[in-house]
Amino acid sequence: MAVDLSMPILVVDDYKTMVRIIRNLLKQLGFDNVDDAADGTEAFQRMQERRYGLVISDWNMEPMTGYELLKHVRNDDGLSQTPFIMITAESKTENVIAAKKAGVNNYIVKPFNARTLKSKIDAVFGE
Amino acid sequence: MTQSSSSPDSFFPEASGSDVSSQALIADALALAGKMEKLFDHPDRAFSDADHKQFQKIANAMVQMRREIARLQANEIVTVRIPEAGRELDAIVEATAGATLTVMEAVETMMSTKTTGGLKGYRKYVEEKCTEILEACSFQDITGQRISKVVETLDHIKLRIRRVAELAGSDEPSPLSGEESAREARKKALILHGPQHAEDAISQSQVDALLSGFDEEGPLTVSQDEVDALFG
Repeated sequence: MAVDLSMPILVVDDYKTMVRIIRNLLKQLGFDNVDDAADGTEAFQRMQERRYGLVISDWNMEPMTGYELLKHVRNDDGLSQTPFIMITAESKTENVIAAKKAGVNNYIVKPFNARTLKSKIDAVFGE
Repeated sequence: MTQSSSSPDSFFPEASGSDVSSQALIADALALAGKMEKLFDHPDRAFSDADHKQFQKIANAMVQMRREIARLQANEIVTVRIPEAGRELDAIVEATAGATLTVMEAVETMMSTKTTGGLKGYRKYVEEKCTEILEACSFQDITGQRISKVVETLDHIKLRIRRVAELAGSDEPSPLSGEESAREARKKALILHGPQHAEDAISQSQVDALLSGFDEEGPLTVSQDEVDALFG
């Protein structure tokens, strides 16, 4: 399945710099339709308003973390199938296992590069 | 105050000069309080030489404790050192954010620009932007120095607090406040460890290996090699 470059992507991170970096990397990969949110609460709100083809989220945010957002999304009938990639500095085994159990589609450890981002997006969409 | 019923001679442990251990000091203080309680009940009773020595010992220890508390310079720590460390950290955040912004703007401009003057013109343009990036990287020198100052402050506080804690015989961690407990509980529930040092973190390839150990439906299965790799 080819990755749809026009699909809307939601980037969730409380650091504007990181949002900007991910936006630029996505742009380099051909994705131009990118929204962003500063934490899980804002992201979940946005997801109620617009259907996203992919969510790329940080873990450690307040008030709602990316891990909580993931669980909310997976428990929501309308959103549960949304592809979800975690990009985080949380680099302990228990985080990866917890995220996987909560239904994450892929997991990227910060710092990362464009190649890793592309390979994980490709993997999520079965390329 | 259970020690108040002991015999006077057993109230105080042997002390060697002014080198009073903190545990003994606490025991002494308790015993002394009990003894004084008895004396107040019988004001006609005189202190023995041994009592005087013990009172002197307690007084010396109290002087020593006061000296250490004075050396702690708690006021200076709270009003000068910690705010200064906070200002240094703010400046670090500002400097790194400023540098990152400069670098990103330079890169974004390079990526989107349409220069005139062909390859030569483009090269000149890229070189200018690269110079801006190099200049922005100078933040590392200043922030490094600022971080050293913060570390120095933390060392200063640690040394003084340890000295007082040793004197007070307190090697137990103090209980967490309600706010701290709530913060710790949130961290634990939401698995918030934050960035790890290189030796504690797992790599992207280890993450990939872990994820590939999951079946679509089934439980986590990780090979021994993958487990071994995780534990170095």
